[in-house]
Amino acid sequence: MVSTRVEVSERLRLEGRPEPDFDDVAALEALAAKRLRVALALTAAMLVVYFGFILLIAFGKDFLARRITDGLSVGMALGLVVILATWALTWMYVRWANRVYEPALDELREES
Amino acid sequence: VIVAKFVPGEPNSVAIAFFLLFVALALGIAWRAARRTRTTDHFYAAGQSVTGFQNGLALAGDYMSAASFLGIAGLVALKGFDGLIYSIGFLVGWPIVMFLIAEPLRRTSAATRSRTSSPIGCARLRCGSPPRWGRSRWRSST
Repeated sequence: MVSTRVEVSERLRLEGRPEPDFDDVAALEALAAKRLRVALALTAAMLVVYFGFILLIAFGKDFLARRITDGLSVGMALGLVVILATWALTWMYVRWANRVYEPALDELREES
Repeated sequence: VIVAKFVPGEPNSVAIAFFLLFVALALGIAWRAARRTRTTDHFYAAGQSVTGFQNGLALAGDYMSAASFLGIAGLVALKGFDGLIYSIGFLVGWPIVMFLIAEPLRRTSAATRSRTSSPIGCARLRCGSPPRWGRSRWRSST
């Protein structure tokens, strides 16, 4: 539910809370929207990798059963790639949060 | 060196000894942790003192169970790739949980001693309960 500024002001007044600086709130909401975009993009990437693998298992068994070397099939190698992809995406999010998101949040907090 | 002879269907003393050892270890850790529990805050969220690394270890311990190792190994042996998806599907959920839930959860300050209890969520009146503006400079500056 997105509220208008008037509604927010009214509610904060009723609760006896100080009214925030709405420029800061707008900046915070922009930052939150940016975080959501990053999170959704990484989630989409994860789902593409995962369901790609699942669909390959469902419809591409012949391809997965090919041997890269003796004892290692394409399917096992791709399974390892999926696991490595989860690590990589997690690493990307943590790095973004530490380098971009948290400093921006700290900066907004300093300004207020 | 004494090597216990394994007889199917008969009690295996080495296995029983290891079982009891692990139970004793787990109980000992629980006892030590319980001695540090003083308040409801400690009880629900470990006094918000669990570090990210410790929490990661706890999650890993939850999911790397005997069922994971034995069950999935058996599934892969029996069903091939149809079993392999179980070993991978478990893992895929975790990053998604982190991307979508970790930050909103932290913003509620429920699980951590958060420095980011920002008015973002609360200014939009998304908070069901009264928003927590404390511990940040949003309050102290006014």
